[in-house]
Amino acid sequence: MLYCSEVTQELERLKFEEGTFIKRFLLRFHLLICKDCRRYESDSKALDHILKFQNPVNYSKLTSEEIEAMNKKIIG
Amino acid sequence: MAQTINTSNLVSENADYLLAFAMKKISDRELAKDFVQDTFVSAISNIEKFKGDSALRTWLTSILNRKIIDYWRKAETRYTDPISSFFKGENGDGSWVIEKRPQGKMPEFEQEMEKAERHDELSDCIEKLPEKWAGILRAKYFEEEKAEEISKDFDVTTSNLWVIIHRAKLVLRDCLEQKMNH
Repeated sequence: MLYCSEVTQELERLKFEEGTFIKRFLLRFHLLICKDCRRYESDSKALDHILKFQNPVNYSKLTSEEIEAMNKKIIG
Repeated sequence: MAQTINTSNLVSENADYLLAFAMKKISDRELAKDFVQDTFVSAISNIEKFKGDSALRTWLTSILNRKIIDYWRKAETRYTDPISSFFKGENGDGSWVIEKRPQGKMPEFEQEMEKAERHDELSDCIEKLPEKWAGILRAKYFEEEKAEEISKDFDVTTSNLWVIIHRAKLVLRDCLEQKMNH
């Protein structure tokens, strides 16, 4: 029998690795009887899509002033 | 035999590359700049250690990466493992804590992602995560890097990678649910 904490970990792990038949069976059995973990499974799938909408990192090249300031601090 | 480095061009030729590398892992531009600056200081102070068996930029990147990894390690010690907050039992190895039970609202949040406020809420919640976890989520879901590449970039084993993603998603889901409930 798996606990809820183990089930949520297994749900994420199985997206990365193959699980054993026993583990997958115990997982499915737990999800049959646990409404909270079923909701977590649904939430986790939604989060996989939501996370694709993250804002990109706001990267901008160093300005010539920033490079000069850095040079002064490093080399003097 | 130690190599010589042209220090007059060191910053101008390498700073942008190193900043881009750092910002993949630390979203704060000023902090990333500080790490890049520290990298140049370390490189010049330890110039005798550069043997020329790798490209200069590779050497600088490895110095920078070590500094970032040390920063993450210190940051993580200040962050409580969420497992015991979400699950009952001595080591959080039981059923859900009642207040933390999933409400199943993430599909609704996903449907509303075209709204600017949902984007802002997502950014707010990601910002609350440890930098390393946030960087890993960005690499996995936004940049769609493979697990092996992420493990190497973030200095985690592939088996630890899903552990981090699990913890990050527990905290993130909880944060987003709270936003929806307000």
